[in-house]
Amino acid sequence: MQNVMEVTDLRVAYSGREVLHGVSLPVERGAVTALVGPSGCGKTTLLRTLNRLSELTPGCVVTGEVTIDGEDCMAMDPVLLRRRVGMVFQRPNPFPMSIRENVLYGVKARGGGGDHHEEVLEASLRKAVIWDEVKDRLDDSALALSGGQQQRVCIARSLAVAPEVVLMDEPAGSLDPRSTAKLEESILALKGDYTVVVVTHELGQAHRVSDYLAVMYDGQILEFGPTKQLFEQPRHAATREYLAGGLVTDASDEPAERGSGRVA
Amino acid sequence: MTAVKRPTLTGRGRVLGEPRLSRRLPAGLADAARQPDRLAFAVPLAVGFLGVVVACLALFVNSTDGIMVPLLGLLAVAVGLAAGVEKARTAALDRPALVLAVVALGATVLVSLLPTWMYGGNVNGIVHRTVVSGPLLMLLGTATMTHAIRRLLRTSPSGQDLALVPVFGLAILLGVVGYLIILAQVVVSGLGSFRFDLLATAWHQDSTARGFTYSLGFLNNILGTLLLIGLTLAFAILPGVGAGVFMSEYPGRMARLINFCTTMLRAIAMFIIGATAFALVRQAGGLDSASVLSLVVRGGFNDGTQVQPERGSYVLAAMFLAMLVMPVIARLTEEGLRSVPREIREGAVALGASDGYDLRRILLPWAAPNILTALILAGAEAAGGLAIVMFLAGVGQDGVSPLGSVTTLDYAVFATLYGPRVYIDTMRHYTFTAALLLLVLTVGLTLIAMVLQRRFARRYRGSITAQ
Repeated sequence: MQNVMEVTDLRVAYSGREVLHGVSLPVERGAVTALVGPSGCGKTTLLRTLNRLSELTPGCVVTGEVTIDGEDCMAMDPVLLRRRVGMVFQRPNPFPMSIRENVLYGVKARGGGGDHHEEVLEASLRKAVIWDEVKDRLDDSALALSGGQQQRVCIARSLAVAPEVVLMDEPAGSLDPRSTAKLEESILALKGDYTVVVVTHELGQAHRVSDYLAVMYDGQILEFGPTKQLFEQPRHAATREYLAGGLVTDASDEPAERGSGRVA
Repeated sequence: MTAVKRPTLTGRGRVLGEPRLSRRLPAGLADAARQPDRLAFAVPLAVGFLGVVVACLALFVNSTDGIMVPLLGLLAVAVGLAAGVEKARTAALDRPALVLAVVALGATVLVSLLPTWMYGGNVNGIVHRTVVSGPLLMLLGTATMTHAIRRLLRTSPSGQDLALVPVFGLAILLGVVGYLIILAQVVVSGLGSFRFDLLATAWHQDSTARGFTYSLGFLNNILGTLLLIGLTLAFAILPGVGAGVFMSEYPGRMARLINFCTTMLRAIAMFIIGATAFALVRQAGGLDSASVLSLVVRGGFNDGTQVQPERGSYVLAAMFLAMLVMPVIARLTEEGLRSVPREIREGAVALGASDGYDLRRILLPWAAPNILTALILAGAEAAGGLAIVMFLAGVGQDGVSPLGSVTTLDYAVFATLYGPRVYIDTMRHYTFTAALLLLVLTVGLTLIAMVLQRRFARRYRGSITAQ
């Protein structure tokens, strides 16, 4: 087992209120790691600290160690870190541009020649399982796509810059069940080539897509291990209770369709 | 596929319940008709309406004084009586109505006694009384109508909102009717003396053996206005947009300082800044020397042998106008950047793009409609900034060059009335023609801006999505 990222004793406070109380987490290369837990347990904060996006929030103080390939993330240029650690958000957030411009945004931001742009475009869209749906309309606005398609374009966009790690913050949070299934398909397609860390509130989804599972509660990781093992024989009673409760309500817990629109 | 609907600056957002107030009227009236005893308030409503109408007429008809004073008194009596009826019926004290009655009574007494108190009863007193009683009647009439509607439609929550109608009505009356009157004056008078050759000729005075001949026209003023707008925007756009970006993207002490300075700068009378600048320039080299500074400040032209001083220059005028309009550009740019959704910003940051790249590709395009609005406002301000131009830069009748004295359309309006004798003598029929040209220019700019804005919004914000 080789870890691409390593979180050690991470503490995050917003305006003096600590929301992560010393979290440690290994992220294995090529695997899908899922973070689950009740609302407000700090899973999104943990995720946003991995690419230092939490720093954008005023009053955020981070202590502890986060490394990528052994390098200290906190000491490197955040722009360089974000080129190695991509992110997909809860709500699809395509830029108001064509599909092509969306996917190539990060590539072009980096400068360099445009020789490989077409190849990168196709490869990224294929990897995100959206190529067949958009290949004839690459120059149409990305905003014209459905919410689920937008989200997969956003995945393609983050893949286009060849990150080592892709962070996903409840990527199916605003999608209907069918779009969610497609999205899970594209997450599974990433396995092996990319390292994925996904936050989800839906335990069924974590069960289906992840190799490793971290159950969080109140700013701490309650239990971490291979997903299968955690679901079958959790070590802690609290984990068992949470996972069991989640599975029981799973059938009725499908996210309601919140519309495909973004809120400005 | 669902159409993405989200609020944009160009969208027509609606927050309050029913789209049209008038749709509530039938329900409200039916409600009032069921309880006829409440109709006591119909009288003050009618009197208030009459008062507002008469007060508006007073703008045009001189002899309304004899009606306005009795109407104010009638208003006081009507509201007072209605409050009395209400008290007898429900035993509840209608305090706002009583306050209105007392204020209206006080106003009646005031305007009745005004001519005697202040003017010894002469004709000036009567004229000034009309000026005072008009606005009083307008405001009290509107307030009375509002209150009367609330009372009339008391049991209908939807009808309560109709109380806003008189207030909106007054706003429309003053905002639309007032401007329409000005517009009509400019268009009618301006077109009356309009000739196309005025557009193609610059005003010019030639001396001949028998005396002077004059070519009449506004070509120099039109070109001068365009030059001034262009130069002003050229000076203002970079610092304005830059300050806006800084205030929005790098908030902190320095951003607050910039905000404070630009706002204060606008608040300080430009004349004071101008006087300061003049004093500085005087120290720096003197206005009569042919230094670059003096050339810029005072203007000048080469008559073939040496540089002759002018009365001012477009460059100087544009520099000060740029200082004047910079805060507007900065504020609107900041506003546009702040309207970029957080998800989009974070999405761009998470892709590992530099701030500059995100700014160029996403943030500034998104704010483009706002910046465009700011530029149009700035241009209009430059086109109408005569006071500053006259004081700081000096004006003349002819010639258009960056270092020449300023000749704009608004100067033409001024000069046909109060300018040099010869200019008044030759151009006095064309005051409103110049005003009309200025209006056409400004309206034209605004129309272009609206079209571009819509196009930009569609292009960069995707406010209209394909199905």
